[in-house]
Amino acid sequence: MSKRPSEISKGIASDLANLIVSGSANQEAVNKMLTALGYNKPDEKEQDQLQDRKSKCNIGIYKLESIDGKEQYVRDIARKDRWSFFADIQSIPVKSDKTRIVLLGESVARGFLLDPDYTPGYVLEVLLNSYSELGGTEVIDLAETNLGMQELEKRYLECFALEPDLIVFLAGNNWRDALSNAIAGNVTNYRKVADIIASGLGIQATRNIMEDLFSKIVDSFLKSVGKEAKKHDVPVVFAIPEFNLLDFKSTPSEKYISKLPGDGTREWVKTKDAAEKAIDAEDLNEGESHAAKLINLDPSHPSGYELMAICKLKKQRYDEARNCLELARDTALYHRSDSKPRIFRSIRETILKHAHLYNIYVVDLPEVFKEYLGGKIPGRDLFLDYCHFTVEGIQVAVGAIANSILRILTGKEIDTLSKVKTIKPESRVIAMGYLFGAVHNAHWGQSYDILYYQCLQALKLSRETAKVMYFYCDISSRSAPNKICKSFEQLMEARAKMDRYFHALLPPRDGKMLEVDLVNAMVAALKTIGFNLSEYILQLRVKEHGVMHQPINLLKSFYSATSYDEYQGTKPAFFCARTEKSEFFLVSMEGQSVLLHMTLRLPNLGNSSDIVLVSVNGSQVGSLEVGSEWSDHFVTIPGEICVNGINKIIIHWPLSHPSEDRSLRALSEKMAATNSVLDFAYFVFGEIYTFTAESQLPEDKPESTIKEDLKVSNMS
Amino acid sequence: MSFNIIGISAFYHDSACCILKDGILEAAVQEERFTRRKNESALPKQAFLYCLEEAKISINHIDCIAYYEDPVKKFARQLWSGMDIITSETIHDFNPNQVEQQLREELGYKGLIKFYEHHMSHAASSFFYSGFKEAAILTIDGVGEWATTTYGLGTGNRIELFEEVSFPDSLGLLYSTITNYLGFKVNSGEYKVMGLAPYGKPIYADKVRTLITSENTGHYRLNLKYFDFMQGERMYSDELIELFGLPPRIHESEITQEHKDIAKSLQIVLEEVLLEKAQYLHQKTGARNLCMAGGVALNCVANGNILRKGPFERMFVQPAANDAGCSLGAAALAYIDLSNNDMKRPLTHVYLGPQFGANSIERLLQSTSLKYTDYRGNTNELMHITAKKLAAGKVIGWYNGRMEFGPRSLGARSILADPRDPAMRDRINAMVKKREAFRPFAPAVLESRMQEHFDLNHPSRFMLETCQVISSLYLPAITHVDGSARVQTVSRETNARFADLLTAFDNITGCPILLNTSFNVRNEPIVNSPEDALACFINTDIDCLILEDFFIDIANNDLSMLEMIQQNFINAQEENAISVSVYTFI
Repeated sequence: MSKRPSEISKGIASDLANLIVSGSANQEAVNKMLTALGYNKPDEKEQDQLQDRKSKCNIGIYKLESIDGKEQYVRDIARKDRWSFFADIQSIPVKSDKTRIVLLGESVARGFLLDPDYTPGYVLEVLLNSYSELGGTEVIDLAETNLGMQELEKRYLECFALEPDLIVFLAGNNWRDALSNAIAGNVTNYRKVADIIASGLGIQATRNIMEDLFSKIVDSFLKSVGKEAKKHDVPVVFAIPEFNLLDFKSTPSEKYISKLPGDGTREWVKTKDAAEKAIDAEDLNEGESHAAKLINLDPSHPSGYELMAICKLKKQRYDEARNCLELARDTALYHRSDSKPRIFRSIRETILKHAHLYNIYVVDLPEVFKEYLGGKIPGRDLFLDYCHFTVEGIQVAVGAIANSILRILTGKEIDTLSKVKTIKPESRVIAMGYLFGAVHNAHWGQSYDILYYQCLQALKLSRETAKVMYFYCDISSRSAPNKICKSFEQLMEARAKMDRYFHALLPPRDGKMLEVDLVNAMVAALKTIGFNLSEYILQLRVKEHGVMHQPINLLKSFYSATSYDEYQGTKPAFFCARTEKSEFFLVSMEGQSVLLHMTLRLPNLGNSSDIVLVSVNGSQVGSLEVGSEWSDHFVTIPGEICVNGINKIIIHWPLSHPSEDRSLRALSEKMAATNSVLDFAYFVFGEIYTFTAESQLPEDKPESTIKEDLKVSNMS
Repeated sequence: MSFNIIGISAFYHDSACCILKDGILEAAVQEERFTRRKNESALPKQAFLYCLEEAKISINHIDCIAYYEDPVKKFARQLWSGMDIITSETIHDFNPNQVEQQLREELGYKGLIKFYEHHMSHAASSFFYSGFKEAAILTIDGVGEWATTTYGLGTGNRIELFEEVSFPDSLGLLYSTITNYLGFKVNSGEYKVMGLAPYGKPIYADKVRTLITSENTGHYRLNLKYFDFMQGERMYSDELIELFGLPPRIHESEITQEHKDIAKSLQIVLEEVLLEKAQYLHQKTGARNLCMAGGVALNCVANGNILRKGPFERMFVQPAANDAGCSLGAAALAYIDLSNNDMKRPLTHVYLGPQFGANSIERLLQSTSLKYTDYRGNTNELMHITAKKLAAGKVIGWYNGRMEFGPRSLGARSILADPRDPAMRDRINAMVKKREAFRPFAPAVLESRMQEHFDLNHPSRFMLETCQVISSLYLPAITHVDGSARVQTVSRETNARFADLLTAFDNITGCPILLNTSFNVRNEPIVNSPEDALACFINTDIDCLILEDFFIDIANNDLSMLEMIQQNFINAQEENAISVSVYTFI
């Protein structure tokens, strides 16, 4: 503002502000006023930014420097904060007569959880150097953890400065953000999605829009890659990643329940319960039937596919199970959660369909793995978590990539699998990979089964991991932030190479969890080698979190969270139950009575009320009448049902039929105004403002505010 | 049941929340203290939850939420100013209704919400907490909705704002623009410019005067050709560079004499204009008392000048004079509107934030490798040992009771040191605060002894005015280059333990004064929890940490591993900082 805008235009600005607020803004009138205020001029910034980007001569964390008269790329101290996201390479030498292959990609290409000892870049270089046909090969590993599509493209453009003979992409897991941005950052796309949800069809009806958009984004990326490859005459290999279909299950917030048309949500919850019971009873046909109904009711939810897959797997129908598990994986498209990286079917299909148009060679790892496993589905054998490979996974993937490289550069068909299998890390490295995998899986809500398996594997391969597990159990059971715990220091001093993953060991601020399943899995695994931590952990949990020592806010992440994943819509100041049951941990002791204070509401009810049940360790302790307005409730947990250590409190929300008095048009307007489209797509069963636990005898409770008598009965 | 009003300021910078229970301020806190992002602008959800907890009420017991500005008027001003990001498509994303929607949906609140204008909230935050029955009111900041400066009169439970200066004419933006030109961060670096000024000479004063034309009334006009508020990268135009004949200082580069001279010139001109406007306000109101608020009212040098040279007998500056304090004003306005009662108590202290009990601190310390001494039940000994350490030249991290509201540390979350040590200022700036060498430090003095050492005839509990040091003691660490100091007076009435420590230090040294600076490092918010205090202790050159009744001495601890772990987070924290190089208009 170097000129004083006209005083007269203050009136226009005020009129326009009021018009927008009124909600009845006529777009023509808005545009007219904006023009009068000097808006709607062409934007030249984007072009400038592009030019600016091209003029920079950095490649990732490396900058060009002249050392002893030779120009080479060295690590840029100004980008030190990103160093740990890259391979342990201090500098990139000038091009020699060796065949130079640049490896681009994300954490999978980095060898996350095995890095820095064993990475795809390392294995590829060793493997290719064992073939004399290439006359010496160097692999420049430019992969970067967390790299998104836009940054990947930037890195690709930069890497031509290194004069590569061939470029390999092992990427595509982090591309959902590109889709998210294309929706949230584009009014037309956002409006399309919002209108569908407002029409009452549910978020599943947005699938075509999202997949079409995703396909266009991927195609545009491939086109850009192909164009640059042609310009430089450098062949490009694109390896499509695979997902841990068999063993990585949907996280808690990926299972948030949709708002379905009519009575669909209630029907869905009942059907899921029936499906689970049928499968538990080994009635697979009944299970399949319920699962099919679930999928039909809500194709956007992973549970129907996952339950169906269980049935198919038990019947050994692997292709059908694979299809279900891929569809379950792809429900991350609906943005319930900040889902972990993954490949989507629409990405894979677009690459398979279009890459050849841009002269890009493709290695389809899903197909490679399928063939390697004889048609079975990849799981913990090839993956440490959702998408990061085990040693075997790296070997198979790199072998396939090497086959392709050799075919392109030598014209020969060479099968490298047997040779690549000889390139192995030390047992210690594999053990730590399993241990990191267990920690990482626990942070993303995976079950005790996989955590225990990985802890056992780690201990089998290296007894050294026992010490790490001991320290980790101690850290997790304390209320202090990890970074100041004595056991964290000891973990660092143990030189277990945990420092490489320190960011994974530090929870988000105010997000530390008790990690009950992981700690229990570690304790159980340690017991198998004669190391009993049970009593120590029990005492520590009681000391740090016991209700007998202090009033406990059960809404804190210690007691309410089992995963770091977060809902992607509005995050209010209170707890929103987006599934029909909410589970909390209470640390107490046998015989200890506990008074719970809750402030609750059922937001979807009109003027009526409904019953919320509270159970502890399977016994019902409260039946509360709750309406749509906040109300206080007190419940006593009798001492006889408390156990030493972790007690599970479950809030059972009623399946009330939502009262929706807002017109669809108003809903649509509101979504557009608040960018809260997801809040209208997913159901809220109940909300909790206050949830505290205090060690107290029943007669001490404030009688005037008691709304419900306590009934103790066994819920199961 | 009590009558509970929540006050909120948010979505700009320094978001905050407070609670009035039956007209008494129970709690107030800035959101940045919880999120650890300096100048946090997001809806203060954690601060809100804390206020409910402190007042022992739940969401269903709130009678009204008072919001500190009018989002529609603000949006009109933003539209008028020209925002790059607004197009015919994106304009709907800025719908001011979102403020109410967010308050309702993210706080889960269905009850009454009242909106008050930004400068009215500033005015109320000062007058209704001043204890004055009548006072003239002057509010000055960057910009609220349209107003940037207002003049008013407060009487009983009424405030009349009778005149205002509108955007883009703004003393706050003038100061921020030069702050930006001098290579400091806008919204936080203004304080550094004020601290730099005494090192300079006002040789650029005439040039600064060309930037602003004062009128006979309360009005003034900026010469806009020197400014470029909305450009995005900087707040000044090329003409300003030409005017000073000096390239803008690059952030973190060397500070030259010219930079100091410009800072001095700016400060002089600001003081001139403020004094002139204060005289005008007095002439219009005839009031004996003056209440001030708004970011510019944090300029304690100018405040001191107004009180010394101006026509008012007494002055009250609301200690959280920035936008955070508007939450107090909005809450007071709602309370008076709805109850028709007067506010119950003046603001006598700012210890309105969270505190943490001894048991939780002990549990925390037991989880660490730190060796500590437990002085529970032996406070006198703790005061004595702390005073002895201070007298021996040690720097103390002082964590005591409820956290302060507002930007100043006043003995609850403070770093303390001996003011008599000539090397102390440089040591704390370099090794503890990790900030520019020129930054001055303030003294905390026992209120009963203030007149022996400072040219001060009234208590200054909020560290919001400067005066000359007249002490017979040599106090180099707290005396600014011009012989002034920004004094906090301390009494047992408002902070007993801090007063006891000053007394213990006085008993050993004969000096009832301590250097008192905020417990944080550069670019970080002041510490809130004991965990924050530990992290700051580990990461700096503080010698001893007093966490309530627990004493930790660096001499007994090897912090090298903890330090290495903490160091790994510095970059991430800096990335998260909200402070920007331009004044945020959105």
